[in-house]
Amino acid sequence: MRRAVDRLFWGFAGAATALALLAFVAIAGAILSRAWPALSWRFLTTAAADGGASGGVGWQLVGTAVLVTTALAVALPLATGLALLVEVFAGARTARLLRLGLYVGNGIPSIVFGLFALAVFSKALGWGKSWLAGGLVLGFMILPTVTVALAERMAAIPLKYREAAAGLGLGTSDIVRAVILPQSVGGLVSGAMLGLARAAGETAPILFAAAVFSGATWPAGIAESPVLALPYHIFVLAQDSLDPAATPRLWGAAAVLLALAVSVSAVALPARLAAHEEARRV
Amino acid sequence: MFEAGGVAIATQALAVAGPGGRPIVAPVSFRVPERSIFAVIGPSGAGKSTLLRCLNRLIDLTPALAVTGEVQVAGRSIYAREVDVDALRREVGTLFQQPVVFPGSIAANVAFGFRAMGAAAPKKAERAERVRDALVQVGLWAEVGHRLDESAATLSLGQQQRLCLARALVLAPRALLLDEPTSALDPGATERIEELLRGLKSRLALVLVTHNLGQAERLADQVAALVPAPEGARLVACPPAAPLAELALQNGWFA
Repeated sequence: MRRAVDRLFWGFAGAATALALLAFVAIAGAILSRAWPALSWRFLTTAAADGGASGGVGWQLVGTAVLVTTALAVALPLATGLALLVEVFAGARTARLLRLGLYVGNGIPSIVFGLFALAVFSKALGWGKSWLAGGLVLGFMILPTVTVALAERMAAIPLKYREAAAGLGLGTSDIVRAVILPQSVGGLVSGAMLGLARAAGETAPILFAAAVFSGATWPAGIAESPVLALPYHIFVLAQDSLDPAATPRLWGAAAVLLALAVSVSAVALPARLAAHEEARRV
Repeated sequence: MFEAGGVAIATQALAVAGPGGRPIVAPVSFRVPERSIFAVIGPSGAGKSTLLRCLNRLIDLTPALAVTGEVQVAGRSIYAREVDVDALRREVGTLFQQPVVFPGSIAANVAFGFRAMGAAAPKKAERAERVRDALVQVGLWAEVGHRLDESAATLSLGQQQRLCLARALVLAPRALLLDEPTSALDPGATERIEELLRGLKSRLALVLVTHNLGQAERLADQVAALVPAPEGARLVACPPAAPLAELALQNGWFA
């Protein structure tokens, strides 16, 4: 009986994994097969032309990099502070509330961030469409993801290190500098990469306040200084382009975005696995 | 309350309570003279480690536990508001049951405690000298002096425990709290640590928590048993030179 139940669970787990893998392979296959005619080095390095029907996604890649770099510059220091508050400085009750807040924050729909950017940066601050608005709002959006990854890593640091450091006369701030931060780098990298992958792929937060379809290159200044971005480019081509020549380029842009997200997540994987392994051992 | 002369650590009605005021250690009073070893024996879970952690306020790291009563180190009350707790923990060092080496080199591990000393930390040359001196004291210099930049994790468990002892000694403590320091070690490594502790007694006060009755007999000048009780564990002084195994059996301390 027990063997049968074991087999049932094994079968269920195996089927679920196979289904998830199949879905990913199907999506990747569908995108790549359609994108193949468009993909080339030139596609990655030239500007789009003729409403996306010719040229590549060079400036979209640059714009995406600008947005993502700004988002990380915002999110990393804030996430470090927040994670330290949750795991080191806050009392048990406050820490519980903060953790709850982070999980709730992770679930906020991205369009809400887009509307926030529109109301605050575009309208209230008068920036119109701005790369900084996009970077800031993407930074806020990925903040819970980065913070949770970092806080999980901090929580996995064995208590014995903190105790031993305290026993040598290190105060809380010394312990943070000498023990907690050096041992949390993996969590920061892992969180940053997961956040980066998400930020690079989101359209809704940059829809109203940061991205345009054409006519932008390097950002100059802050107000009325939009950028091109891969997800926005895909969104517009998929929704509005009637030119059949744009279709392979639409899929090409999707393939580039997919490759970007997958490779960034893959970079984060070892750091994440190491944190989990350590947490399991202690 | 106490005469400070010759007494390194003294407690008066020191008690510990857990969540909801549940008594863990009933009021205990004892004195640890300078240059002596005071051993606390008792069954697992009696509160020996908890009691030990009260003596340099490592107990503060467990906010759920409430400490009452008085502890003095060299005549100064350590629970007074103005006490610099970090300086106190350098003055009264701790050696834990499991050696805890930090990720990093052997030299960095020994010098780890200097990080908290700010401007008072020794300069580079003096630091190197003190690291060497501490490693000599614990008999590790001959083994690791030529590879100080190697990871401390490469050392054997016994070497790691001696490294931890060197790390506490480099801060020139007045006393050391030893929480079952040999329970994770093999007999050879245990013997080396015991030898070191015997040597350290000539200049430090040591409070040793141990399950090992033979070790308490071999090392300690005073032995007390922490005996669990519903009203909190009681500390019972053992007569000098009494056979501890017999005493424990007669009184059912490990029952």
